Amino acid sequence: MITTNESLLDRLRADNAQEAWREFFAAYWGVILRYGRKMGLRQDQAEDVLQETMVVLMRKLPEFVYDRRKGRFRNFLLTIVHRRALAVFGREARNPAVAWEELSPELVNQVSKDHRGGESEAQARWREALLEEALRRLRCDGRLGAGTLAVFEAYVVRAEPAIQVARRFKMTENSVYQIRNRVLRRVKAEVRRLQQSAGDPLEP
Amino acid sequence: MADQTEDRIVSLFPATAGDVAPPREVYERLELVARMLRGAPAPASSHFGLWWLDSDGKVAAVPAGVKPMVIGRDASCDLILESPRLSRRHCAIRRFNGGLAALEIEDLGSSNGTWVNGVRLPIQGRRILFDGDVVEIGGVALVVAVPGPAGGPSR
Repeated sequence: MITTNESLLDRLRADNAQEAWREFFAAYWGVILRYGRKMGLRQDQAEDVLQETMVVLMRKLPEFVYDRRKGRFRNFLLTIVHRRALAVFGREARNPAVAWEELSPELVNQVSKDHRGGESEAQARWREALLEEALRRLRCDGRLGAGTLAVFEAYVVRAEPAIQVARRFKMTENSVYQIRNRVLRRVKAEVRRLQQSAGDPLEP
Repeated sequence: MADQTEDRIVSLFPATAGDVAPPREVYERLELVARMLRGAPAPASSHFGLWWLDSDGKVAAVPAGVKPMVIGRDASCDLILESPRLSRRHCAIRRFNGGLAALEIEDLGSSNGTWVNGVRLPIQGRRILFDGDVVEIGGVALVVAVPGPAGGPSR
């Protein structure tokens, strides 16, 4: 059981961490797979990235001293995922130049470094993967009803006029707006949950 | 920031929901890897080879070198495993010599096959193995250990 002051990250470093690893995997498998697919990998290659990322973390985390001043955990995680994805690419081409590298502060800085004053490409890709995974979870676990999703798709995705959607679904326009806002709130909350599962504070 | 996030959510929905398949058996393999890491003889971080559970349920380890290590039931094998479903000379493993930190496995014409991550190798086929891959032969699961070039993960 998680105490109010104990993050998942702390539990992953404990001796009896099986349950914590199960939670971590459940939280991040979708995000990591999506990140791999966004890098252009096939499903089986993305699964390799997922497996190898998890194995790296299993090896490193028990001895890892997390110093918040050196960077956020999610950047370390993103760095590992990104490096594994590059490595999988390299294997396909049998490229000997793409070899395993130890995680280093310099590598973390490359992934999180901003060239233009905004987030790096890798961070943007990771953020999109988080959003997509949040949407998938909401769809799959039934927290949003099929009717709610249908209204959201009609109004937000297909950009149908609110009055038209309201007539079709036999509700007021105000209800349509409320559904849009509710779904968006749920997605953002799900993303926050994913980020907090690793003990990472929310972005400002 | 809130408007940008919402715009991004809108642009993603629903094209991507459901387009990533849940990983087949990945977590089951990872559970096995985790068990090996917990019980592996020290130093687990620098071991380059194979881990498996012996008949007492303890984690056993064998290093892999450049020379092929033949695995099977026969006394002539480098690694002898007692399983009736193993062929006498079932497969061979060695360090991959192609610029990658990896092992290489070759099926030696086994009757019941050599399986890597749930996929069967072609008869006398070869495949590269990476850290955390699971080789299954004759009902025995062997976890591949390929640490970093510096001998293991660093802090």
